[in-house]
Amino acid sequence: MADIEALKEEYIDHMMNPRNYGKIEEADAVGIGQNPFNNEMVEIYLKLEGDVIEEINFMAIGCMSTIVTGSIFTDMLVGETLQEGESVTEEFLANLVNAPEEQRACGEMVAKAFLAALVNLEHRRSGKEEERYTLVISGDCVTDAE
Amino acid sequence: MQSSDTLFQQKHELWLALLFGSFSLPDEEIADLLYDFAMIEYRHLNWLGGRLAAEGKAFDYEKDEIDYRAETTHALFAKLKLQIEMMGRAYPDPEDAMYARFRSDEDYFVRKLESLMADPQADAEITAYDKHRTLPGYTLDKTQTDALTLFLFEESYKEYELILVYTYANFFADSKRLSNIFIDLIYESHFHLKSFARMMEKMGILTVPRTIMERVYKFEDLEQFLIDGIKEEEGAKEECVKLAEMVGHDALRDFFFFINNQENYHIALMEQALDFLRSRA
Repeated sequence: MADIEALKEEYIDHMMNPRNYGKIEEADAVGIGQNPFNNEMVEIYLKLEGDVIEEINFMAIGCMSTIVTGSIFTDMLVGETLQEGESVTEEFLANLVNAPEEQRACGEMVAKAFLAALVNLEHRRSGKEEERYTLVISGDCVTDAE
Repeated sequence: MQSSDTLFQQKHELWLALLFGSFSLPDEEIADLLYDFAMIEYRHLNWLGGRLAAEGKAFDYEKDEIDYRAETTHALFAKLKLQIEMMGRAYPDPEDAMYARFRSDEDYFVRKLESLMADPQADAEITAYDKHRTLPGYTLDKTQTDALTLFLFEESYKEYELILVYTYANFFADSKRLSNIFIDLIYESHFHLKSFARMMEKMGILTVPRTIMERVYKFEDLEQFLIDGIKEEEGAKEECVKLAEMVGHDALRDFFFFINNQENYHIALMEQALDFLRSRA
């Protein structure tokens, strides 16, 4: 029953109509943010035009807080450059420190899924065949899973 | 003609359109009729999936946006009729008994929808997704309303997920014992989904659950899935009890304890499946 205080009209709308939810076929990059403690995860798909995020979608195994966060987060990054996206994500992660623990984990999964997609993109651009990259959430630091 | 997996997706989408269309209706008698149609579509989906699995063909639960929203019931019927007719054009073999059955069922659905569309008494405003968030007959404060809202979103998704997961597992079940357990669990979840979705309709927050990720139902370790599932059921029970205590209304409390007690049996069924798997390992 987390997030009750946060249950505003906008929140309800994101629960009813999550933005950018669903797989992107033939995405340019795919990243996973994974919670190793309960098998919850977020997968982010990027479609790029040069270095601009033309489309960003997500899917999740998680609670409504994860879905709402994914919906808001991906909406923020559409049309941004990868660099801007990375900087927004770092700021987002820094702000999570003050959030309740469960919301922190949800937010962290979303943010790290995006960062994992950036790693995957870098690997693909350097010629590595890699379907997706995974980052595991672990409190304050990021742990590589693969 | 479409490929089998596209046909499966279209059937899945039609099932959901009829199901959530039925949940959105204010008239319970018409809602029940459409719910029956939706459950027949679910059986079609099951038969189609069973055939694809037997033929070794790949399929999944990907879906596009489900078009079940309308301002009035007549507008909804027109929308559903169109989707059913499109489905009918997608079946491959007119001589095949299964597709002939699908066509025959859906021709009947179309005739019933047409007769409802011709009946002015069957038209009404739909308020199932206007977010008014009040439950007729109950006075809930903000905390109670928010708790109920979150619970309904979480659990309606969960029940949809369970229906799909056990349906998929049942396509590949290699024993009657396991299959019977899966079927019991599927129909329990159908009932829970209906109960929660009807409540969501009354509160104006009805929505089709999001697409479930492939890795949720295409798992390799059924034993681990059941172990995790039992933990999740225990978590769901806790949420149900918390909510029952929080809502502070006898009838609602009674309903959530009733659901909670049903979860006990789900856990027992999953434990039976687990024991069975371990006994033959």
